Amino acid sequence: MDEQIKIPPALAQSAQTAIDSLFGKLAGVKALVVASIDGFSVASRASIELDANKVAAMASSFSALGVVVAEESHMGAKKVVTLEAESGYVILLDIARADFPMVLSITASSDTVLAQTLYLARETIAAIQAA
Amino acid sequence: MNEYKILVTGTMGAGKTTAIAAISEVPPIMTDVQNNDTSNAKLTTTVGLDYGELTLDGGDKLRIYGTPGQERFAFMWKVLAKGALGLIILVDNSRPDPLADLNSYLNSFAELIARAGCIIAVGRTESHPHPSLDHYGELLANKGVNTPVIPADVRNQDEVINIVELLLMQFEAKTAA
Repeated sequence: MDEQIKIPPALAQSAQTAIDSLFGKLAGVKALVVASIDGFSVASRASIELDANKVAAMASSFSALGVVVAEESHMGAKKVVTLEAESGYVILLDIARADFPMVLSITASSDTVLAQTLYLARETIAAIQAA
Repeated sequence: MNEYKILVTGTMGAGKTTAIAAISEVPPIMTDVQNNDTSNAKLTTTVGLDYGELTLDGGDKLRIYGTPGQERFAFMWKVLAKGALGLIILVDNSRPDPLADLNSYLNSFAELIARAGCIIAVGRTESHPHPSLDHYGELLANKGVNTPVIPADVRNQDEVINIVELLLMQFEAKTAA
């Protein structure tokens, strides 16, 4: 069951540059993964041990589940999926490129200021969308 | 009246989403997104789950879940297998090595297969007759898995309902034993 993906090299580079910059600005961030919408890792940066490929697949699944949960709950289009765990948060945001839709997964500790994280993440997403 | 959770798995493009859409009496829930895997020409692929419901003639209700097909979503297989009472493995006979595909799913879902009913439904046998159903039977016998193998076109509602009914019969036989 060989799987192959062709990520546009310039896009992968832009995504890496953008999340490297975000990583330096976000207090409490543990990991950032940019995933293709179908679950392949495009770029990643982490200060913890983490399998970016696995995170990318999970980000894809849970983002898609978020879409149908929002729809079935008559809440309109999904915007953000936020998971609060014992030690922190996992936040999933769409990177809505028409040619190559992606998901940004942010893993952050409990002391992260969520509003600030979302604000800075959206700047990063805008940069990747414009690249 | 009983309520059963059953699971449909198989490789990308084997027809899991199609099978559930063919028999669901509610609009199916689907999590299909753009496919970027260049090894498969499909435009979209399931990344979360499919879901449908079916009430059988006797009043029994089925909740039918479809898995993503690709190995990278194996974590969803474990999540979705919880509480399932039956498994349908769809095999695409047009793929390069469908027996290896089946072997992989038999290994991944071994725990579920051991405790629940299981049916192997092989698609595209008319255009791709090899391997034959006997070859599938040999593989299953070698692995000690006692489960039916049937050819099926999952676009056909009657054929999918037939698979589901066979699965329930197998589950009932297992629980009665």
